[in-house]
Amino acid sequence: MQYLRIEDEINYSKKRYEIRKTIESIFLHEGYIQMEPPTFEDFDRYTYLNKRLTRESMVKVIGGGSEVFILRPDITTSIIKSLIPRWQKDLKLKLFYNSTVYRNQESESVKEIKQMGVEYLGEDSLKADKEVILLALKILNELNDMFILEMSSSKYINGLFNKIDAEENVKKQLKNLIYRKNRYELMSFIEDLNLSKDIYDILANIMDFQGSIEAVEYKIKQYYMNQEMEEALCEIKSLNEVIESEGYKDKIQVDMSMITELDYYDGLIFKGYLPNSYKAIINGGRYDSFTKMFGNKVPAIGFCIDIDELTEMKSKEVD
Amino acid sequence: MDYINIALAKGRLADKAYIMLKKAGLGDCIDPNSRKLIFKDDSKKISFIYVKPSDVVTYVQNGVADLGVAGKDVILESDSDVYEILDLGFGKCKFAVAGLKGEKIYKKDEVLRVATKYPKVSKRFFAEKEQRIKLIKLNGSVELAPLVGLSDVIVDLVETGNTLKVNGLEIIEDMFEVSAKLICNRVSYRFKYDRISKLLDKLKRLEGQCCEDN
Repeated sequence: MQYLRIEDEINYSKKRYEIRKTIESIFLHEGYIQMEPPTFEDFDRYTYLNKRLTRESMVKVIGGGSEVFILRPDITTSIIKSLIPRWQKDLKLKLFYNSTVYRNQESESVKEIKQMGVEYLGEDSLKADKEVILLALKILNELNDMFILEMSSSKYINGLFNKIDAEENVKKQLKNLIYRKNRYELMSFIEDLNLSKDIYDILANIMDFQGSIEAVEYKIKQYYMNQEMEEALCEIKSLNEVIESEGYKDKIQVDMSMITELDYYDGLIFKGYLPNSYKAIINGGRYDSFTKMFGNKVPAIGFCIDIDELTEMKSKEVD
Repeated sequence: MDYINIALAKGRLADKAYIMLKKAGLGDCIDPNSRKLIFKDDSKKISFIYVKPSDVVTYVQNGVADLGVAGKDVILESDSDVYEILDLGFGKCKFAVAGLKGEKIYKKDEVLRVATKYPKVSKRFFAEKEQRIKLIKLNGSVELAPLVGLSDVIVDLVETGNTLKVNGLEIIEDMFEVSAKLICNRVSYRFKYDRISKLLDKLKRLEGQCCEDN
């Protein structure tokens, strides 16, 4: 029995380098500029700004004067934090990163997670949405043309939830049930909520609101919609045109019941899947309201690619 | 066409899952008396693996299995990121807090000592009640703990209540009901959506007519 040899490890590293190179050259070709986020962040300030990460999951480092720093746990926050507070009007930036984040994980202590991604800041929403979604499609297609891109607009669920008169923790539970596509428990949960019939009917059927954009439009038009929900549908429809003209129509699955792990998105959200991987390779969306927390509301959209999972998947393909 | 891989839990849920699959016309390749762990149906392109109940979620989350049959108890205990696409209606039982018969007040100590196989479920339950607890994680025979003074109460799954009864324990408080769920990997859900939907429809149609519970 022989375990992994040095050559195996080197080969793996080579594979990863090639993948990063391929993606990087697409980013460069589309006019994105590389940015290296700072490695260290101030612990107190960071936890204040970004509450969704638990304090335990951050890797702490003690400075010379006993100040506590953390190794960057997330790249978008680092980039946004350094640019948005002194944002100049009319500035448009297309940035990419090829980097690593650090988290404490129960089973293996400090974990290095390799990520690449883009952030498109300051550009009028629809134009940037189109550009970024096409970039994601192009990359997925380059990696494996059997991919699927799942998308929605968080405005649909947000608009719906604004009409629900319930406490925050009830809404959180509702979201979690939808996130897990747990129709059975969702049904018994909403039974007790005293909802209006409009809202009840949507929640009871929301997991069927998926498929091609035409199918989804047909389904949701039979139910209640407020302005925000209409906007969501409009956004997706206008993206559908470019997607169709670029020939990616059959790769798209619209799912209006899509809920992301991060709740700072407000608009387009999407996930890219490749066959033989067990989790999403691409995660992205629009996060204008997140920038507002840093002093200026700037149109912002981006996505992140899971390089570790991608490399593993690609090296399986070779075998 | 790719296979659909389904992970089944050995033990409590195995027989009922097998009967259900049989009725849905899917489980023909399974031999419940065999000690084999993998069964393949080449014509229907379905395969089954038998794993420990608490591992079903792990297999599904890592995509080795597309679907899995797991108890809600196991799902709650595992912090998993999978879809729970169907309630299978069997394997019903409930989580409950139980203690020595007749003893209702615990004020010997400043914290309540709780023995359980389900630390996460217990922690969450008592945190909501703002009851401070000391958790004692056990791997079996939990009923013993209050009898020998290891804990004040236990948190466990109760099906008939017989085990509690013969050991002189009783339920102090019902927590919530659990049953068997069909869980699904998030990526498989996308790539095999049509086949999984069809399978779901088949199983839904069976609802109510199989596996009458005790």
